[in-house]
Amino acid sequence: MADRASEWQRLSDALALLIDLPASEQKARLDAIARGDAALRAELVSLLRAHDARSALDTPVLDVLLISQEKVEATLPAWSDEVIGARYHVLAAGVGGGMGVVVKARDDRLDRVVALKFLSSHLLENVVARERFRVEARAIASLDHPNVCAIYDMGDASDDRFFISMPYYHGETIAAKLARGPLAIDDVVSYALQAARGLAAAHARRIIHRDIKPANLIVTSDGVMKILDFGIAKLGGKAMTAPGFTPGTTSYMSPEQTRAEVVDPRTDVWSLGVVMYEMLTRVRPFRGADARAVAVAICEGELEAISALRRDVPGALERLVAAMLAKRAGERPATAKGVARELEGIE
Amino acid sequence: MRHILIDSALTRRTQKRGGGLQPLSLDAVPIIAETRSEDLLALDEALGRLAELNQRQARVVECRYFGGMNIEDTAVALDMSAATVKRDWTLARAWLNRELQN
Repeated sequence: MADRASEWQRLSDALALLIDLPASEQKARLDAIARGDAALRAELVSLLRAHDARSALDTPVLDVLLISQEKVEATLPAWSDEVIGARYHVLAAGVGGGMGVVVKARDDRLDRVVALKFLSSHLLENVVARERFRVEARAIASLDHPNVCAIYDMGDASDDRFFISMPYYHGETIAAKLARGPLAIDDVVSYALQAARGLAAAHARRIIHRDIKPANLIVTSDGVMKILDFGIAKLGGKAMTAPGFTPGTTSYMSPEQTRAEVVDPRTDVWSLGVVMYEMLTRVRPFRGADARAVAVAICEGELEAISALRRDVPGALERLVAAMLAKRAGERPATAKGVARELEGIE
Repeated sequence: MRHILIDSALTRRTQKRGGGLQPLSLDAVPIIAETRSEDLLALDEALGRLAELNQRQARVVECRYFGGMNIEDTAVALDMSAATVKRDWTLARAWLNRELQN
């Protein structure tokens, strides 16, 4: 790695020199720098060409996003009564989720109601992203865990939109429950335990959720917790989850995520800790006027003791949440399985 | 910090433009983001690779591209001279451009 960095440093110096020269002098200088090293010369030529080319980087991302708004609205499909993949009858347009539009549909073949999640066609023009999504979807489908949202099928709609079909759950997200106030201790322990078990199963297959938040946790009418949107956050990568722009999303990020560092399963442990804290107190542990302030609070802010906000929380539960919210990943419970075990002790 | 830059820059932009621009509805935002997701995905990955070669150049790109900052703002934000920012930007842009073409 150090070699590649110093190699790029060397190229940088040469390139900076060449770029400043008038075109007529570039060739002679290139020869002088390369001194017969054909590979080095080719490298510099390709960089010079890239320098001269137009670049998407020349328009800051926000300008692009704002301009494209109209275009997007124009390309949103008319959903009602559409038949997708010769099999799914759209019943109702749903909401735009993190990575795509979700619609409620009837699976005519198996005669059941499903949720179809469409992924953006732009994203899917990218062969790598598409393939990554398929691999991830297969991994999740193979999970077959009661606390992880199942995947029934993946398919292509006629116009190249790619979708996955999954159960249409009757229930309520934790976000909806939180809107009414803090949750009962028993419910918090039950939901957290189920979420931890679902995460543990995923982590065992090296799938990290990366976007655990109340809106991604749905409790069915039978009281079963289902974790939604598994692995989809990863598909987008760091910058993709970012343009959700909602401060709410930042609130559940681990310190390492806010720094855009490489994450491991302990990032999910952190985020679940934030959700648990919120379920107990109804407030998020790290707050701020905007996302930047939230990120600073996440990385540096001191955790206000749960007992200062609510009295009936068992000490073991409070200690567990505090441990899950350790700034350093190494100081958190190492696995979701460990969290589940602790919760089983409290239950 | 890339998300944060994007977030704060959008807020700033929205405020700056005031009534000239319709505020984005919450529903619209993720969809808008998706239209650029392929590019963003590729750029984000390339930027990650650049950071391994030269952390400072990658930071300059974050400020310029994700933060919408000009050379001077970036220089202040990163406590660098404007000349160094300009040089880093030029080199990083060429490198990223080549990566994204491949």
